[in-house]
Amino acid sequence: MDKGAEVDERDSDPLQALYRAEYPGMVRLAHALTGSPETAEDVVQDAFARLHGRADRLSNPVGYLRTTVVNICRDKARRSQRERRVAVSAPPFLTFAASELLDVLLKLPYRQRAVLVLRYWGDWSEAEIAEALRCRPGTVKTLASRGLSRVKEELS
Amino acid sequence: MDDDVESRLKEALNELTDSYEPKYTGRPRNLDQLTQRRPPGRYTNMSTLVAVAVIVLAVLIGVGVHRSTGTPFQDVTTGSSRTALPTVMIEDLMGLTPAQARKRLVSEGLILGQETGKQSAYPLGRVIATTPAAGTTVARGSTVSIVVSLGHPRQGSTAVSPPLGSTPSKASATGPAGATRTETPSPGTRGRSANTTSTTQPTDVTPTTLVAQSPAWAQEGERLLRAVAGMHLPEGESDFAYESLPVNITTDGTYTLDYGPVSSTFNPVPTDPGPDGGFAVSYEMPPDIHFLIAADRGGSLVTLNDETYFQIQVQVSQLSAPYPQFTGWIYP
Repeated sequence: MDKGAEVDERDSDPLQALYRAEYPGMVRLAHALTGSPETAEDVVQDAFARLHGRADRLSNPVGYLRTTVVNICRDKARRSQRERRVAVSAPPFLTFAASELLDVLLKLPYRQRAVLVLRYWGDWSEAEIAEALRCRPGTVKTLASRGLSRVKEELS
Repeated sequence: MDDDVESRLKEALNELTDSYEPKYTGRPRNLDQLTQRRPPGRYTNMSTLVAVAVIVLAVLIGVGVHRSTGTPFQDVTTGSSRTALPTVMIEDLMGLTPAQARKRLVSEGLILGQETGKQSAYPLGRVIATTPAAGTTVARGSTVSIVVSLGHPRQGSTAVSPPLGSTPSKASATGPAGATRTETPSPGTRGRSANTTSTTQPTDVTPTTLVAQSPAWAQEGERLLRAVAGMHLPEGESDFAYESLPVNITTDGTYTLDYGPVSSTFNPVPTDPGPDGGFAVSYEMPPDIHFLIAADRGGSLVTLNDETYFQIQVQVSQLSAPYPQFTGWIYP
């Protein structure tokens, strides 16, 4: 088998195709959720690993991937709490306004943070957020309003 | 105002995500490894987690199986040394407390099996014999049973000494403390209710397990725990304070509270804090699981998400299948 044929075969792999299309966006999502690019890369690699062998059987692999990313980010957040790591703070090279806001955002409990990120940055619908966070849409609203008021409080 | 914050959030997150270019490699970097053996390093954490999860499941689900078949958790507790099964000589555990004996056995790759109590002239609560006997060479992962002194039958009201650091109590004064615990509360019963049963137990019963029940000791346990957790535990509200014995204070300042069979829910926080509120310990314990809380005197206050928690090390172990420590949080 020559090299060209091998490349073609790779492109026909559904996971490969999904990876090609979705990787950068998923890393950005995980980055927004965790505040850390390194963690984000890890999260998305893990998410693709979990898709392995089932990418072609899922009716909505992108949805599955997004939910997986949101959930792995939650696990990371929990783990870093347990390991008593210092909370992630915004990288130093951002503008003052952005880093001030991100510092507040990153200190929020994960679900509040996730709702704010997915809703206002990711433009996800309430139903999509509820599904990813495995909660009711009403809870999404509550989390969003709590998160927003906390942010406002911290900024004022 | 809302719109302002929302748009500022969006801008800030855009700025954050634009600041980093994903390292697109053209192929999932872990894809090739999925069908192969995972190399050490990068996946160590995950495999450790999986191992812990397996152990937790084994302990929580498999207790019944373990009890009925008598095959303890060699596979999970011996971990990586399981394939080689090297031999190990059983140490002389005489004079140690059961908790110390367990620790010593575990460090040797052995498993603490049955604990039986026997009246003897040796100090109460101390190991007086092992099966197999000290000096015997056994395969790593083997179970070692211990016999623990229940004190001298005649010691009665005066000479019964509770474990180090705890105060003599009415209950222990009625007879050998080890003799008082022959039954466990039914599931869902708070340890508190045991206060009423233990004092009425006959003193001449030889129990099959060495888990004495002494409310005063339990209260002492709570007192100690409160000393550890400071002002953060409201009086009488630490669910885990009443379940029993022994309270060991080691010379390095570590308290070990072995709660014996716990059938109540250990949940310092009555409401589910959810994934937001840090991490609360909460499980339904099978009725015959042993629950060990090892609280370090130097436990620390940790601030997470602007809330302060007191952090202690909590170790949960089934009688013969200890599993690794994890960290528990007590809400202030």
